[in-house]
Amino acid sequence: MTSNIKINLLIDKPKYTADLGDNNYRVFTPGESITEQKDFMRGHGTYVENGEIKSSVVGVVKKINKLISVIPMKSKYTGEIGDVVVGRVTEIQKKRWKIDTNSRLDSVLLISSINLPGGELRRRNAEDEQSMRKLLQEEDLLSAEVQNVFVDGSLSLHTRSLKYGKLSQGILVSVSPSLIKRRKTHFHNLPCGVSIIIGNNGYVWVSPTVNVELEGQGGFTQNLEAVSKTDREMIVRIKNCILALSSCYVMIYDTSIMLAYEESLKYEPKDLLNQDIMYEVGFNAKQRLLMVNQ
Amino acid sequence: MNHELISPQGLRIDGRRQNELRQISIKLGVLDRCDGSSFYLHGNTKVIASISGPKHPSKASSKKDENFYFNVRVKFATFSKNGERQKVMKNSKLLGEFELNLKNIFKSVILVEKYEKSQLDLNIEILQTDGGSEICAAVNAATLALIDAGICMREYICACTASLTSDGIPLLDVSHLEEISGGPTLTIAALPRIGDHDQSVSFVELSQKFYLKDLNKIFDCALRGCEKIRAILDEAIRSNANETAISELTDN
Amino acid sequence: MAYNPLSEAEKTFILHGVQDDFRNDGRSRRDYRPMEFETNVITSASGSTRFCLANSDIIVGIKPEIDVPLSNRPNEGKIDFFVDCSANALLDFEGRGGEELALEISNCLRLAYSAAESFDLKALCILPKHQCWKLFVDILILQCSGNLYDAISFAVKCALFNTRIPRVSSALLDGGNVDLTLSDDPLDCDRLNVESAPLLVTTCRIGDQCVVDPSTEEEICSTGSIVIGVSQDKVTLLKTISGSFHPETLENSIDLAVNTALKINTKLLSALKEEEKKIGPSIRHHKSSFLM
Repeated sequence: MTSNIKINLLIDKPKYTADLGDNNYRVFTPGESITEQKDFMRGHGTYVENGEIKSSVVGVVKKINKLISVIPMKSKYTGEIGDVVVGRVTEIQKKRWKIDTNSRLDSVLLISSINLPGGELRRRNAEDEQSMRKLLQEEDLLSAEVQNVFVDGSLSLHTRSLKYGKLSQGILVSVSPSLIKRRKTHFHNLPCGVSIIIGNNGYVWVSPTVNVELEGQGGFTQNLEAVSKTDREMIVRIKNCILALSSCYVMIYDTSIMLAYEESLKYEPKDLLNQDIMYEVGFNAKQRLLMVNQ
Repeated sequence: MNHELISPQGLRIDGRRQNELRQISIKLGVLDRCDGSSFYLHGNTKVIASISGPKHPSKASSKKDENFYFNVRVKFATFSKNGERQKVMKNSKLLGEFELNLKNIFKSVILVEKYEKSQLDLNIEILQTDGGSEICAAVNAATLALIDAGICMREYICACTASLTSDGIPLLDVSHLEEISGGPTLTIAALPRIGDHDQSVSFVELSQKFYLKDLNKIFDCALRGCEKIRAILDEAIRSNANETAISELTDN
Repeated sequence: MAYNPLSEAEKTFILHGVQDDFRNDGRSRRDYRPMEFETNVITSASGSTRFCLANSDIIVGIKPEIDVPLSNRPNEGKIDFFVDCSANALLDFEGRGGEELALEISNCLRLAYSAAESFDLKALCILPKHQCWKLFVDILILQCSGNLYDAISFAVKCALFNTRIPRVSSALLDGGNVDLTLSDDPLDCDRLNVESAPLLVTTCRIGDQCVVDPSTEEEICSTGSIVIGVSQDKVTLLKTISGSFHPETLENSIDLAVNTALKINTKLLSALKEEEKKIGPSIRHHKSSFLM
């Protein structure tokens, strides 16, 4: 029957500062020259002026062969082919869904880019809006892969694999896309009974682990039965851990999430809403991560 | 009256030197529900700028005949000025001009071609002001918010004011008190690349009259001010970048 | 209510969470998210505060002006409320009724403060029938992550606590004209008693249960919500915002709201006093919380 109420003073606000020792990389700011050499190509976050490649954002330089880009600290998602994304349907049009993927333009999922349930063959007359809505309607969440990047920068997606498809019960956490580490797999079943899909676009999906054999239909079905309380507690804890990592600017992937999870165990999941505890969990996870990586 | 703007010892009404800025404090990312934001404190002026986007254009904005939907909104808080409470300004001509100026200033520096077909919203909240030069604070705050949002820009844009005493001494960063004491005011917004030859000015506004022979002097003073502000913004941005450093960003 | 799209499955997950008394951030049905505030953030106002409830961020500025008392209440001053959505917060609503919500909230505050038990308007009277103070309470929503009614009412209370009204050293009636002398010393001010200034507590029905402090997502799943104004232990406002309530549910909601408001009132007042002790009562110069 007790209710938890905390009122703090902003003048006492805890402050998180990164340990300056562990990042000795060079930051570029808009207008700053990166190179005058002519044989480089300009990538994201750069522009050319008077033969020089200059930075157009605040971030760190990444060189791949002759391609120079600057990765901003914070920005919208710019997709690459093969990326795993989590998105939300915003609109149904003829033969395609419009999907919000945290990019500067909505992405497109063509009806020809999905596997119909049960391997059913696509019929022309089945392409009307109503039958599309049966599979995915506005505001539904799905996981997908980036199939192509259009000239205007918008993405086309596909779900042609059993692991992609409509998402059922769970919680969506949104973090900055630059916090997502590119990994071999972005689908994880954590040992604590929680499944996560870490979208490259910064949308992270946390849900109860489902039995693939029972529901492995290529995923356009939803299970609306109540999730057990133990599963729910774990899901919420993982969600709060991801937010803690994000508040401390720690890369988000399976290892960092598990470290934060372990650090969080001495607290109740709701304690992680408090900034000081959030910082503590995030900071400790970061320290341990540094040791793991050495 | 002009001669009182600076004392024989070379100090101004608020104790500053002729080429000294008022206190500037900066914080990036103050609002976490938008894509970029900043808090900018300049003397007694407090401004919050926020960015939403770039995102898929809403129905209303996609009707416009443009390729890049850039919306600027400015609001003065009713309690922003000393003395009487301000009436809520909506669609007033003054505010409209303010917004249009900002829009033009930033269109000249954002790499617009990277944002074709998208919508970008810049919102400025003026929380507190001592009367003059809100546009300068708005420009500087907006530059910070755009950078925080990771929007591609050619350069920083910084804005500053300058005035002239009757003895022909240029004054940097005019306070409200100095403005109402009768000094003419020049406001400029510039891309002040320090030490570079290709500095350019994207906004100029002059109040009252100057002798043409003085214009160069006062213009130069304001431009030096923009350079100083650029250095302050740059330092704040770099230290913020280090504070918010993502440990493994480079080996991604 | 701020707009945030949710799929049917996400809504189901939230609904079952409320039934299990374990919400999406780990809170129970009676828990509030952490709150933070700072007073005196706007020096051009006579009283001000910045109040944050999770990511809802609100600034309140208060300015007193001299006015004439209402003829039917000659011994009382006036107080009025104006809620304004910043352009940034309006984006949170995506054009879905942000301005209407602002209007509704200011009406609720007006009602809650009009009760004699809640706020002593007599203290704002300068010269009965002739002159009084009118407090303009302006509320600016910087961003919204649910439960605006509550957050705004808490913020207003903090700002009123912080308000300093110039002391009137003499008020004389000279013929028909009032001759007022305000104290020369800017530190010589009157403070307001905010002990019983009303707090608004919203209870939100989700499924068969009621929760306090709904998040944006929970507001979307809600089938009914009611705002309850509480001054110390008295209910001064009851207003349904959406949906309908069974009388029994209503009674439970009121109980829940009164109990919660009592606790918040105690904590809020002690936090206000703590802040004042830390900084001192005078006009101060310290780092604004926006810079921290």
